[in-house]
Amino acid sequence: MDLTTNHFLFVSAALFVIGMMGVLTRRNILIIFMCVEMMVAAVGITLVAFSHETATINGQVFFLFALAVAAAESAVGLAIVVALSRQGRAPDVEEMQTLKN
Amino acid sequence: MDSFPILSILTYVPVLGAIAILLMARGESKLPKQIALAASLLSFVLSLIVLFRFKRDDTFQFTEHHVWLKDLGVSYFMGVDGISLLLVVLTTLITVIAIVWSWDTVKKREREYYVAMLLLETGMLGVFLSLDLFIFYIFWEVMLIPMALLIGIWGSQNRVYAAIKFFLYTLAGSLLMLVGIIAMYQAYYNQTGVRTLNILELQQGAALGAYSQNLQFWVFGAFFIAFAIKVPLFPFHTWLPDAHVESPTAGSVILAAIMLKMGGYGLLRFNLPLFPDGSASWAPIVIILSIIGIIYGALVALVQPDMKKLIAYSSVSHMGFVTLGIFVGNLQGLEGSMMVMLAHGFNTGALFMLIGVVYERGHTRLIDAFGGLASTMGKWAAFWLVFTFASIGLPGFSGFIGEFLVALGTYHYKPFAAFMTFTVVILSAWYMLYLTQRVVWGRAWGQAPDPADNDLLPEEKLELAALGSDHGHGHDDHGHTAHPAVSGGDHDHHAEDDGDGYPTHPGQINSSKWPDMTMKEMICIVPLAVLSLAVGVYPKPLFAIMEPALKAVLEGATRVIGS
Amino acid sequence: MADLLYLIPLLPLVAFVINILWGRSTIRGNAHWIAIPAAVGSWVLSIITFREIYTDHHAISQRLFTWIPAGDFNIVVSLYADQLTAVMLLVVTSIGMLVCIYSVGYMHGEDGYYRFYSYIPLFIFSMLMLVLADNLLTLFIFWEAVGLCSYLLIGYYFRRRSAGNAAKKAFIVNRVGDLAFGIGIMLTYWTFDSIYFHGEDGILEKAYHFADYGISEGTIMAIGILLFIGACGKSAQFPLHIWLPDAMEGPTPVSALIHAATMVTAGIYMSARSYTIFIGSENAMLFVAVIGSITAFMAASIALTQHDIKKVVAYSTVSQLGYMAFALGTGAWVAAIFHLMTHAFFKGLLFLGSGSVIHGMHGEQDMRKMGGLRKHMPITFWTFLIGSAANAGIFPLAGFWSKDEIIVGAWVSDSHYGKVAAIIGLCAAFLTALYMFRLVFLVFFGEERFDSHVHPHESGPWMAVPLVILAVASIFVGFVGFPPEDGAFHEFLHHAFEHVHGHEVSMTMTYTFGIVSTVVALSGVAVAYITYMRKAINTDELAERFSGIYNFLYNKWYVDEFFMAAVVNPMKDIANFLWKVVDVRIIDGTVNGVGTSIVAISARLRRVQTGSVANYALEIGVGMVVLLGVFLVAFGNLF
Repeated sequence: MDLTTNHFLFVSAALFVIGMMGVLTRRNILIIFMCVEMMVAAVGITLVAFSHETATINGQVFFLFALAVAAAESAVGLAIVVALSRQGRAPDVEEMQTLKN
Repeated sequence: MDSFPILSILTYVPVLGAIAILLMARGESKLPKQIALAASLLSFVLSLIVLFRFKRDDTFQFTEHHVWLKDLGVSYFMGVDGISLLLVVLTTLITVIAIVWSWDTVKKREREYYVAMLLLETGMLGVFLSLDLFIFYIFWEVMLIPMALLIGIWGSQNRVYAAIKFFLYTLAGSLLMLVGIIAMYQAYYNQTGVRTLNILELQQGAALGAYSQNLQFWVFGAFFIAFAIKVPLFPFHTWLPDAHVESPTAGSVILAAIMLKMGGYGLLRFNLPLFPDGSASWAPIVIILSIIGIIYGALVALVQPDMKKLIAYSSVSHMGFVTLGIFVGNLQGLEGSMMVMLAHGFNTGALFMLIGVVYERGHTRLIDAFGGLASTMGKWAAFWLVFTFASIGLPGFSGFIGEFLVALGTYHYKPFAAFMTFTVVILSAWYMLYLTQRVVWGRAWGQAPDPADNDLLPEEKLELAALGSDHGHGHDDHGHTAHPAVSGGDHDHHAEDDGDGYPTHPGQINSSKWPDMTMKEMICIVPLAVLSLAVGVYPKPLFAIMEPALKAVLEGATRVIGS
Repeated sequence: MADLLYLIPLLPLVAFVINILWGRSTIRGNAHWIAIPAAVGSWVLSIITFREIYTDHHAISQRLFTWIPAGDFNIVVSLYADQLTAVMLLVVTSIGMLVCIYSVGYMHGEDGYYRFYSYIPLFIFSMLMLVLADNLLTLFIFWEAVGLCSYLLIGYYFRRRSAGNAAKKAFIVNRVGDLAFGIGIMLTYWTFDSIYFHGEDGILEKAYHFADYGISEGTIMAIGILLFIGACGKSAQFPLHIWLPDAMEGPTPVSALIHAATMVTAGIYMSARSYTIFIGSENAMLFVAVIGSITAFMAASIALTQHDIKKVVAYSTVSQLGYMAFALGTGAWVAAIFHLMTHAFFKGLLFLGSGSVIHGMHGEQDMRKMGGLRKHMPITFWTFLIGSAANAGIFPLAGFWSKDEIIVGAWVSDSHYGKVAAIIGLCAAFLTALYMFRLVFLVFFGEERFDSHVHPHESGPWMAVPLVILAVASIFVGFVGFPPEDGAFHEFLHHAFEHVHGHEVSMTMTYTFGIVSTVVALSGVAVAYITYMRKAINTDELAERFSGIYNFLYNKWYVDEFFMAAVVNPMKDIANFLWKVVDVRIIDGTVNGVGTSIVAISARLRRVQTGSVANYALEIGVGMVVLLGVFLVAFGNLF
């Protein structure tokens, strides 16, 4: 059986949905971060798969950018977590509702 | 014309004054108001120079044209014609008067007050002088904010509500206008391939047929609502009474004398020349709304308990003449509109100042709180009468000419409309004289009634009978000379037994000890009285200035309406 | 003289300016020394003008300046004096001058003496400009200006609420007429393309030949009726007469000058000035005649029941103005102006005389508290008696000639209504004699009914001299119209009414009517004598028995009440409705409603902001799925 683009897309979709469910259901920021990274990776797989399918380089270049952004994003996010733990607060998203209203 | 940019200078002198005030250190100082007065006076003098060097034809003069954003067709284009010239001079004059008026009445945040005043002046002058829609729109918005601040910070009790209402109404209108400007800009580009916001070029577009009938209808509507709110035309007028009532005196004066004119000016400058077809289809609606406004404003003024509100509603009535005259499609109507605008500037401005005089003494504007002010404030009463009669269109004062010409023009349009319009001669006399009767004539609160008065209230008769035993009815050999206790005025030897011991009822303010008008108040009022009278007796120079420009406007528009 | 015509109005204007600017501070009690010379100067100049017009038989005019140059609507203020104007100039300046002199005595020591002597010259100026106007709009300006003077002078005692109310009422009621007048001017302008009276293109010529200009008779009628409604306001014709009796709140000399002799005749003058318009339309004439005769009769009947001496004279004025109006309406133009002139003298006399009575009685105006004054104030009595007889139309005093001519004129006119008007006129003449002599008997004869501490006294020379002059005038001024229909006056005024073709009146008819009106007037006097001197008829009992009629008359035909109930109060109700419902509830309600509903919606909407990141993420996810779905459905065919 050959590996077709569809297989990659299925894996990507599964990863994305798992990641999304994680983001939505978990309360710990660290786990949410991991889930977000998983979603980014899922999108990356799609990009690379299409890049291969269309025989162009665009998708792979794009994913490299996305990875860089994701790294920066997790740096900022982890900084927030560190700042929180310094204040002695739990990394619990339910506790953080300053956006309310 | 010479290249000296006099229009820009007269427009920006106030803003330079404002910057100078802001650069100064805070603290107790007379300097802010002195700078403000100097800047506004300079601007006034410059506008007078423009007035006297103006050639009486229909061209734009003293023009300054600098390309600004070339690709977008935006330019810095200023110029003055017979229509704007008169309004510019009115603006600079009224601002000087407003600043003099504020001299000793504004005590809170003086620096900021004068900065707002000067910014406002720049905005208003810019609106009248700019000939490019881009800078026009900028000035239009510039003028909005200082006025809202004047109302919202230096106003009376309910000022924030009034300021927000004023702001939102005007902003809603100006956003519609922005949409209209963009639509017109685009339509002109589609037709000619040229991007421009130059008003004169856009007017050519109307002749070229750049604006389809449908577009004209809608864009006219957008502009119209913006200006109708400013005028204000019924039913967009409800911000006006609140704004006037809450605004400080100088703010009311500027609002009535100048800002309301922007609506009329905009209709004359934009709606009529740019959209002849749109004007034709909207004219009946505008005329009907104007006539409703004229009668409605007068009737509602009749029952107001608050002096400022009464004058505010009378403004609605007067300004109805402006929109009416513009759209009846003949020269009499247009010239009448201009005259009404100028006359309303003098008369209503002055009436607001006169109300300011008694407000500053009695701290209320309620009509019932005052009575018989003629016996304590003779000069005030004299000026009040002058402006009352000027405002109700007594010939010889400025108000009559405009209102008569508009009615004459309207008669040509539809006789019945003229009849409805002219009923205002009765209604205006009614509401103004009713007000005068209650505030100026009669017994002053705190003084004893005149026994010869045939319309005494029952309780006054009782009080008089009770009082009679103390004072003794001193009929001198005339019988109808006033009771000794109420003499004042010319018989100064009676002043010491001025009956300030006479009881006042709740809601009445004892005005028997009030000083008459001060020097400052006279300085502000007298020029307006002189102008109102001069314009009423010899208006010919004004006609000479505005007639060519109005004829040009009319020629552009009448090929459709009125025929 | 043509070059100096402007001086006639200018002198009083200068007096006004001087007195209003410096009267309060420096001139004070000497204000009359500014006003009287100006009035006398105007009077002398008017006589010179009159002489010139009389000898040369042509009008003189003088152009002053362009007032309104609005396109084709070009109004030049210029003065124009023809025979009609000349008569009016004489009337206005003579009475004005005498009132100025009289008031030195009457107004002595009043508060604001300078104000009085500013307003009176202002009034004289405005009135002179009114009669000198050569176009309808200039006439209208000064028409309004005399209204202003009237307002200021009625409200002269401004500390009295009643004075202010009367002034306000006068001005507003006049404005009702002005509405019609203004519309009439507009219609005139758009019909004739001109508002100038004279000349080839003037409205008088055009209206006379209106058919040649393609103007319909209906238009002419409309103009005529509109102008006359204007005249109704100023000349106190039914139903706009209601302001005139109230106007008696002003000082009595003002009543004499403005509300009897001059200003109230402005409406008659204006109608006579635009006479060809009325000639052009029978219906307009009929309208004028009907209104005039109703007024004449109504006011005379009301005057019978009033107790205030000035009110009686005021209603008498209204009644006499009615005579003038129906003279206009029946085409007796010269007779109307003749009566205007004689009336100015004898009614001025009556007002100044009653002023003298009031002055002598320390301000008392109620006739029930007078009586027997003949002995205390002989000059006032004799002059007043002459004035009353003239007013009653007793041979050979001034009123007889003019009133008789009006009645004859009505009788012989083409109009069917003419004979009715003549009969109404005779009835009113009877009532006139009755109420006039009721007044004389109540005030000057009988027992003294005033309080013991009142000591009536004769007025001083400032007041007595004008009374005597006016009394002499009231005796002799009628003779300028002798012989009837063909006197010097008619000869003179004929030039001003060149399009009027009078009716031949036979000598027999003249004598018949002369005798009839004398009998009518004398019988009125006789009834008054029987009732008020001999007390053969008990008036209280009469009032009791016919209480319906009495109350109707005493309450002035309930015209005021009618206007209050039918116009004033409903208007106020409407105004209140417009303000409290339309403005506050509907318009502001809508505006505020938009605001509050946005706030309300936002209040709901903000609950979406839970602050929980997970919720936001869910919303993003759901939103994405929804958008994706929408795209798939909408653009499905693309894939």
